[in-house]
Amino acid sequence: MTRRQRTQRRLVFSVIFAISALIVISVSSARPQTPTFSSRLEVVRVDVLVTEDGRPVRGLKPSDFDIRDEGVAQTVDIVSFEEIPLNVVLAMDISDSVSGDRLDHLRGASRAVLDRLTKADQAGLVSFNNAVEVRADLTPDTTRVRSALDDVQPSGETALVDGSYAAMVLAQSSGPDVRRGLVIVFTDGADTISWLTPDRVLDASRRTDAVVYGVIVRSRNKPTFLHELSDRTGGGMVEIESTKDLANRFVAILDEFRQRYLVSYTPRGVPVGGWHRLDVRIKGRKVAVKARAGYLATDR
Amino acid sequence: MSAGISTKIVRLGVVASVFAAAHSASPRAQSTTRPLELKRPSRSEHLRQWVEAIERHTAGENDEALGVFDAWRPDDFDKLTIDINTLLALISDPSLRTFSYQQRGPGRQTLIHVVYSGSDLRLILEVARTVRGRGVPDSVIIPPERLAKNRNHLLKRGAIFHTDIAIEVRLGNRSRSGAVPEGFEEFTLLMPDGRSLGMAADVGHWEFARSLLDKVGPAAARDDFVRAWYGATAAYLAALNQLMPGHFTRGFRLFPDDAPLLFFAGCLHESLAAPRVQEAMQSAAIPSNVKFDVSSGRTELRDAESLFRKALKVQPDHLEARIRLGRVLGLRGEHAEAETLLRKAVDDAREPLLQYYAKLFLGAEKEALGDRAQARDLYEDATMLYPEAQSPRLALSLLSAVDGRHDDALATMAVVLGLPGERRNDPWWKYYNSQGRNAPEALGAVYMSFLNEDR
Repeated sequence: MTRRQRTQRRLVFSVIFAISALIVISVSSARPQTPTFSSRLEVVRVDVLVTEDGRPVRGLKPSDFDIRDEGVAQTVDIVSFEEIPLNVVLAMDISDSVSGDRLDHLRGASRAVLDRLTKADQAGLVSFNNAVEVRADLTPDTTRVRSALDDVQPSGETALVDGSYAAMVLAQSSGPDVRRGLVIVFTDGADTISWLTPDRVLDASRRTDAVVYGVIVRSRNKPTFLHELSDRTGGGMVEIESTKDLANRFVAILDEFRQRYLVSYTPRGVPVGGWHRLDVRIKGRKVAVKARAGYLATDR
Repeated sequence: MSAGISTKIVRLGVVASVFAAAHSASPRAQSTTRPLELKRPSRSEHLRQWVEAIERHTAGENDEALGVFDAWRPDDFDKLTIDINTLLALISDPSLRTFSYQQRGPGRQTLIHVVYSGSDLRLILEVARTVRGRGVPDSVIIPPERLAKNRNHLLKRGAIFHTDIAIEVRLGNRSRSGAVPEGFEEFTLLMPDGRSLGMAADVGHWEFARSLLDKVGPAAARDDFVRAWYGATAAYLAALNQLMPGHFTRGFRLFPDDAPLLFFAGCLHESLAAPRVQEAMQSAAIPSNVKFDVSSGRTELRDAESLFRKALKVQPDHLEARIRLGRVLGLRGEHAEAETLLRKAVDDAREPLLQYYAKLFLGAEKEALGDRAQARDLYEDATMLYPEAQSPRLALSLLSAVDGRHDDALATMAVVLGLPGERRNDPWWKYYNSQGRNAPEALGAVYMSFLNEDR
C-alpha cells in the first residue's frame, strides 16, 4: 500500500466515523429515494428477517411490527425494505489450508456477491491468517475489491476472532447515508492465533448493528464462536461440506439480507444506558422472525 | 550454532505449524527371556561406522557425518542400540564374552542374550580398545578416571550427534530416516493451523540421545553437561515447535528441581493448552497403540501453573516464568494474583520482547479487573514497543468499540490493519515458541563447554 493510499484510508475512516454511531443515528439522508431519519432524536435501528415457510414475507408496515425494548412496547417509526444501501464486508480466512480449489471457490463466491451489489452499495475486504488485513476499505468501486481478491495468498494460522472483529467494525461504519452492514465470514478452521478473546468480541458485537453471517467448512470442531456471533447479531450460520457451491451460498446470504426489514424506533419508557433486550414479533401472524437479541445503549 | 539455523527457527516460528511428539506405548514390567542369534555380519561394521561418524561430526553442523544412517535398514538400527551396549561393556571390561540387553518393545521388556560371530566380536573389541585408549599412549595402563572420561566422551558425542540429526530433520535439512526400529520410533502428529494432518514416524533421535546420556557416569544426575543439555534442548524443542512431553519426563527423573527445565516444561503445557493444539487433538485420528500426552486445556493450564510456580520457587528472579505464570493465572480466572505478578514483571523487564508480553498481558488483566484506563495505557505502551503489532491495536480498538466510540475503534485498528501482513511484526504470534529464541546460542554454549572440557 502506498503512503497516499494510507492517507486516503485514514481520511475515509475519519469521515465515516465523524457522524455515525451504533444505534444512535444523527444523520439526515440527502437521498430522496431512501427513508429519512430524525436528525436529533436517538433512534434504534434493528435489522429484521421475517420468513414464512422459509420464504421472506414482503409488504409489512410499521404497524405490523411489535417491538418490545426491555419488555416495553415501542412505536415503530419507519420500516424500510430493500431500499437502504449496504455495506458488505467479506472476511476471508486465508490461512494455510485455504489454497488451491478452495481459494478459487472463495474468490469466485466473493466476486458473485460483488456482481450483485447496486451502485449505492459499498463493499470491503478483510483477510485474516495471523495478520488481519483490511485489503479494501468500504468502497462503491467494486473493481478495487476484485483487485484485492486477486492479491490474496494463503499462509499461516487462523485469527478468526481478530478478523471477525475487524470486519464487524468496518461494516458498522456508515457515511452521511444510513447503511446496513453485512459481514460474511468464511473460514475452514478454528481460531488458533487471535489475541482478542471470543467473549470480548461477542461483548463488542452488542455495540454494532452490523449483521454477521458465518460460512464454515464442516469439521469435527464445533464453530462455537462464529455460531454465537452470527446468532447475537441476528445473522446466520451456514455449514458446508465442500466449497464447490460456495458462490451460491454467498449469494443466498446476500439475497436473504436484502429481504430484511430495517425497523427503527425512538426508545420510550426504558432506561437510557446499558443492555436492552429486544423482542421482535409480527402482530397477528405466525411467522419466523430473526433479529439481534438486543443492543447496548450509551449512557448519555 | 550457525546464524543460518537461527534464521530458520524464526521462520518456523512464524509459520507456526505445531508438532507434538510422543513415543509409542511405554514399556511395562513384563520381561521374557529368549535367545537371539543375530546373523548379519555387518553389525559390527555399522557400530564402527557410528563411532567414526560421531567423532567426525562437527557439533552443531549439518555435515556429511549425519548421513551415516541414510542407507540403513530398521534392523541395522535395532542392532546398533544393542551393540552400543556391548561396546560400553567392553570399554569397561575387554575380557567380557557374554552379553545381554534389555530390549524395549510395546508393552514389555525383553532380555536378549546377544551372541556375536567371531569376526563381529573382534571388530567390536577393536572399536572398544580405540575408545578406551583415547588420549593414552599404548604402553600405559589406563587410569580409571581416564577410562570413565573416554566412556563419557563416547556417550556425550553420541548425544550431540543424535541431537543434531533430530534438529536438522525438523528444520527440513535432512529427510526422515527410512529405518525406524521398534522401541526407538517416534510418532509425530502434524498439526499446522489447528488441524491434524496425520502422523509421521521416524527414528527417535531425541530418545537415542537421552538414552546415551542416561549412561553417563558416575551418575547422569550429577553431570553438568547432561543438565545443561536438557535445558538447552528443551529450549530448542520449543523453538522448533516440537511438543515432546516425554523429553521433560526423562529430564525430571534426573533433575527434578532444575529451574530452566521446570520453566520450559511449564511453557510446554501452556502450549498444549493453546487452541491450536486442543483443536487439532479433537480432530486427530490416533491409533490406539500410540498415546500423546495431551490433556484438556484446563488440565494443561493447571499443570503449566504448577510448573511455573515450582520454577519460581527454585529461582525467584526468573522473570519469564513470572510473566507466563501471570498469563496462565489470568486464563484461569485468577486475575488479582495475575495482576500482581505482571505488574512486577512490567517493572523488572528490560528486554523489549518481555516488556511487550508483560504489558499486553497486564493490560488484559486490568481489563478483566475493570480498570479500563490503565488497560488502555498499557496497550498504548505495547504499541510503542512494537508499532506494527496488531494485537495491542485491536485491544485498544475493542475498548473504544465497547465504549460506543466507533470512530476511534476504526481509526485505531486502521493504523496497522492497512499494512501488508508480511510487514507486520507482532510478538504475540511467536509467543508459544518465543521461550526458545536463544536456543541456538544456548545449545552452542553447551557443545562448546563439552569440547573445551574434552580436550
